[in-house]
This record gives sequence, C-alpha cells and structure tokens, in this order.
Amino acid sequence: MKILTPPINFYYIGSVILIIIGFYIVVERHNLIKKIIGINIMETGVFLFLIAIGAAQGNRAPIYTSGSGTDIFVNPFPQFMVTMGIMITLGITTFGLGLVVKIFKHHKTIDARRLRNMMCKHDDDNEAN
Amino acid sequence: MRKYFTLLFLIFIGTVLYYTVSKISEEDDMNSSTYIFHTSSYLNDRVSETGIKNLVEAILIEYRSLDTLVIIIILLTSVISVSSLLRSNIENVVKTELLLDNTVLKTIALFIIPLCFLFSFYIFYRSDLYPGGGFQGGLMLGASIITLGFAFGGDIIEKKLPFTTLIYIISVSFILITLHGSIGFILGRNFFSYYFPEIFGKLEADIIRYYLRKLFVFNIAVIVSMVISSLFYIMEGVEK
Repeated sequence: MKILTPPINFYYIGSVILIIIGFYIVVERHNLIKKIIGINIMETGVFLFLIAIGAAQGNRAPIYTSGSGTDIFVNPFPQFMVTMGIMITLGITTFGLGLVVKIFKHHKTIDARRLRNMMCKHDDDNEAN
Repeated sequence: MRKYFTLLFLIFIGTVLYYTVSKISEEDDMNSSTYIFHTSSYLNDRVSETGIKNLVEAILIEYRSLDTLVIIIILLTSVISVSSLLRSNIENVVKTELLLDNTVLKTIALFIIPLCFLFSFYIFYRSDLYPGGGFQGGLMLGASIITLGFAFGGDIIEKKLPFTTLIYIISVSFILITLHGSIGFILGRNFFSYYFPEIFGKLEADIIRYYLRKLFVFNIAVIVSMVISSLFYIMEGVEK
C-alpha cells in the first residue's frame, strides 16, 4: 500500500491558517464588528487558495505583450473569480455593518452575549404574559 | 477548559482542510488540470478582434459579462437595503466633530488624494492593456473618498455627495449598463455584445464599440466607489 504524503505548499498552509484565524474570531469574539472582521479574514484565506490553485512557478501574468506568444500564463479564471468574490465581500460587509448600526441604535449594545440574554428575557416576558 | 477545546477543534479542522486541499493539485505538477489554461475559441476570437490584451479584463467584460452584471446587482441590493435600514439617521444630517484634527494628516491628504484619483482613473481606463480593471479602479476611488472624509470631516462629503445623490448615481450607472448592454440585443445580437451598426463607416463603428466597452468599465468603477462611500455613511450613523 502506498503511503500518501501530501507535498508542502506554503500558499495552502497560509490560506488554511487565515481561514482558521477568521473562524476563531467568528466563534470566540462577542463583538459583532469583530465577527464581521473575522468573516473578512476567512474570505481572504479563500481568495489566497483560489489564486494559488491557478498559479504555477514560472508562469507569467495573463496579459499579452509583444513577443509573449508562446509563454505559459497562469490561469486567469481564478483571478476573475477572486475579483467577483471581493465584490461580494464588499456587499456583505456593507450590509452587515448596516445591520450592526441598526442593532446598536435599538439595543445600545453590540455584544452578542448581552443581545442573546435580552432576547431570552424578552421571550420569557412574552410567555409570562 | 473551553478555550483548549476550541483550540483543539480548530487544529483538527485545519489539519482536515489542509489534507483535503493538498489533494486538489500538487505544486509544480504541470499536468494538473488546474494549471492548464484552455482558452475557449470565443475568448481567443474576442482577444484578437477587440485588441484587449488583459485576459482577466477580457473575461470580465466579454466572456462572463452577465456574471459581472449579477455582481453589480448584488452591490446595488446591498446599498438599497442599507439605505432602507438606516433611512432615519442618514437623512437627519447632524454636524459631527472631526475624528482626528491633525494638520499633518490634512497636508498629506491634500498631496495624496489627487494622485489617488488620477491613478484610479488610469487603472480603469487602461485596463485593456495593463493590469487593472473597473473593480480595482473603483475600490481605489472609493478609498480616496473615505480618506477625504477622515482628513477633513464628514461634513465635506455630506455637502458634496449626499446619500440620496449617491443612490441616484448608482441607479443611473446601473440603468446605463443595462441600456448599452441591450443595444446589441435590440439589433439582433447577443446581450452585452457591444454591437453597433456601421452607419457612419467601419472605423467610426469600431471607435463607438471601443467606447461602449470603456463606458461599461467606467460605470462599474463608479458603482463600486459609491458602495465604498456608503460605508462611510454607515459608520457616521453611529455618531448620530
């Protein structure tokens, strides 16, 4: 039986570390703005991974210049997808921050634990009534 | 105790993620499917026909232009939802104090912001030959507008670019994009084919097609910069 030994690719390691850091922030921090920052960091990791799977050492950027007919380009499709992804991140961040501001105006806090307690108390009051 | 469990769980997820990811393609393996770039004949024809040298830009405005339209619709939706969420505190303009009343910041901003504007214009105007594009240029333009707001106070932006005007600019840009995308559609070609009939002559038609593409990229840049400027309004809303 052949033992599978994955090769060390530093771009993949970097992207996994970024995703883990973002996930840790989303799970462990209670500030809603920090949670949005965590989502952004996770997305950065995904973008790095997408760029890394399309690139190989020695390949040129996908732009035709004079005398570059026979050169090998990196794959431009992941780069296009990352451009789209950055814009989706921008939309999500805008909407998320708008929601956070609205929550702050209503409840005067952006702490997730306090908000949860408030909602539980609100439900209990409703049941008592 | 809970923290140790979280860390262990994260390390487990990280290991699984890396193991899965490293299976997809191995480094420097030129036979791997992700490294081999097969341009479609459509894209090759377009590149030779229109003279767009930047392949990412060619995909963005020719090959996958409908995807670009959908992304613009997402941006539009996010700004409209934010405006409906924060309607009350965006319309009541209250004078806010400067975050940082710093002379050094103001002087540097005066030097840097015009250069940023110029360079962002260059990035989206020459994106067919050099690296760049509408999205990148728009991001830079929006960032320079936000820098202006931080250096000289939000009042300047609220006077020159009120939130309602921002929504109007985004809507007009979106209508322009769909209208000039449908010119080819009305004349019997595909949607976003940038087709224009040779009424005045071949050269003039080519020039008009070239500027239809430029208009598309310009409108993308305007929409993206306005969405980033709306971020400034959202965070200003906290103060009010």
